[in-house]
Amino acid sequence: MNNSKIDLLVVGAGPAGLGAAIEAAKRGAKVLVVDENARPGGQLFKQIHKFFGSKEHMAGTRGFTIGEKLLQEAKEHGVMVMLNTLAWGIFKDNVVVVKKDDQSYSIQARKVVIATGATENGLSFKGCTKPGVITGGAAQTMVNIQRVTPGERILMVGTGNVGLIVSYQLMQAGADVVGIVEAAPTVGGYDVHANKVRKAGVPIYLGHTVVEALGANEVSGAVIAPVDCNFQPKKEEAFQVECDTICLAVGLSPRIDLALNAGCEPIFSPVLGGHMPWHDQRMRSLTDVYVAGDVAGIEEASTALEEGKLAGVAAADDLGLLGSEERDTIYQEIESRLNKLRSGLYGDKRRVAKLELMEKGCENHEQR
Amino acid sequence: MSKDKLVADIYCIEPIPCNPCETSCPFGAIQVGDDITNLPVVDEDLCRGCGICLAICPGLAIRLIQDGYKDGTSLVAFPYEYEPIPEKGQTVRVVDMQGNELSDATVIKIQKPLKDDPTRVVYVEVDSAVAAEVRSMKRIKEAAEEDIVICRCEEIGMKEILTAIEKGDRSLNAIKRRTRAGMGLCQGKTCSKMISRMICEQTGIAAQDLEPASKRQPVNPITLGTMASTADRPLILDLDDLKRELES
Repeated sequence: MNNSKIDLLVVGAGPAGLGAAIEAAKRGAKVLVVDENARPGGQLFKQIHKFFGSKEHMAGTRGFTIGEKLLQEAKEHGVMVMLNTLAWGIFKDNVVVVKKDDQSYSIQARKVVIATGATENGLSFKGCTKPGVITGGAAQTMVNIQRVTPGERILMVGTGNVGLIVSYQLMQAGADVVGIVEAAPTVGGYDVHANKVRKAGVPIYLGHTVVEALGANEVSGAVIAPVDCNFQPKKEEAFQVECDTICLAVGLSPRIDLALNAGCEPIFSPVLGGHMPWHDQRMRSLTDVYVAGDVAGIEEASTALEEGKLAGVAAADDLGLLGSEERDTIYQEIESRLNKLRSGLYGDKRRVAKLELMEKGCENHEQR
Repeated sequence: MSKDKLVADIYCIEPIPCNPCETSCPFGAIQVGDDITNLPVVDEDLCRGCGICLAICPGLAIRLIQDGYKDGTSLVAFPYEYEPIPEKGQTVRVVDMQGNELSDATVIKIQKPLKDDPTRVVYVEVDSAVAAEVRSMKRIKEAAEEDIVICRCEEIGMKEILTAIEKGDRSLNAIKRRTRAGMGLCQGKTCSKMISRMICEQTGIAAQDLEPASKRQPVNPITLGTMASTADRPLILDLDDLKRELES
């Protein structure tokens, strides 16, 4: 039974969560957003670089400015945002239990959007638990939010966009990047990002991996080695680099814990970061539960925002808040923006993976 | 006093009420008597140097000794209850009563004199000049190869995960149940992918055929008090009710 007057509860105030909240609230839904962090915006507020895309994606705008705009918009449409609030469980009939100040509150909503984002992948090697080994996201939070550099001489592991951007931003913050290690034979992220660090003279060790963090009590260097075709390090060709920080930017995984507890079906896609909850073309994963953003497959912030908008519109639609005229155009508009973001050499793979995922799920659903 | 055959040498020095050496000797070579606080006396003619008394003595206060084992060397045996057990032919450092290292010695054999007890007796060939002082050997410590931590929260290393896979674990849940990897504070957010990769590498299972580990609520660590506190509150169905609850 669901007599809630809360139309939509959104877990996660990143771009996807805020996008969903705004679109639903715009159409008259009463919306609550909860986020475990002290400030909303997800990762947007540490994105001090300008985003790609086109005008409709706010391209050329820096991430934190997009975050500010979203917050302003959410406020204008009467979205209630609860911060420092952890959604720790989801139960029957859309009851989400949240924790704030050591107190739990059970909140029922008619629809739920799960936009819990991602977690950073780990990498284990000898000495990887020494102080000085951190993740790329942690380094980015330190330099761009807390305004401290994690170290003076940093070895980055991973050439995805996170590894490249964070390397660049660490240098902007005054640190040196002594090199970037990448196990694959090619750079993972955009070449323009790679060129930003190349121009700064940072060596990129392609086909290499880090095998050991050196140092008695904290990192004082790293041993890196080329990898063979099975990605196993060739130890006889290993060499040392001096550094005080080893920064791991080796990919993200959808944060699916809450979604799976809601009953969503896990689907696997290596392109999109591993297991993620199945969803249909309108981000619906269960009758009343939608997923959006990185939790629904690792992409990037602009895509997360559009997916969030799609989920918000779909929720409003399912709540009967969408006019029939609008229905004819709005989905196409969002879909067209999403397709643009998922085009080109990099984006196309994600678009295909996303389609496969939805179809795979359909088959599984039918089999049941 | 020269021993030309292998015999027990007891250096039991206190009147402890204890006589397993006497009762365990199959040859009646050790005498304690009715007053079991008496110090044991060995009849070297009857002693066959079998080593049973070494393994049973609760004080580890018996050794075997044979002078003139080879030219200039003696054979000494002592109980040893540490891991790892030395190997035949291995060079070890023999020590005196104070643990002072006397010299190198070669392990001749390892025995386990008692069927149901793990105490080993280590036989070493040692320079006769120090044989009289030898009581034991320096404990062998394996140069513990630093393991690579996979699950930080529960401190589970790569070796333990590999062993679990070797024993037949083929899923994240199986490894979680066997080793606790993934059961800690972060609930597998850091280690799951690494463990998946290890399963795939070791067994040839494709990544898409592995199920994610079970996710349980609460999805983040919270106290039982926090969890229970919802019981005191009504189910919140309205944003105004929520605001009121937050203020109260």
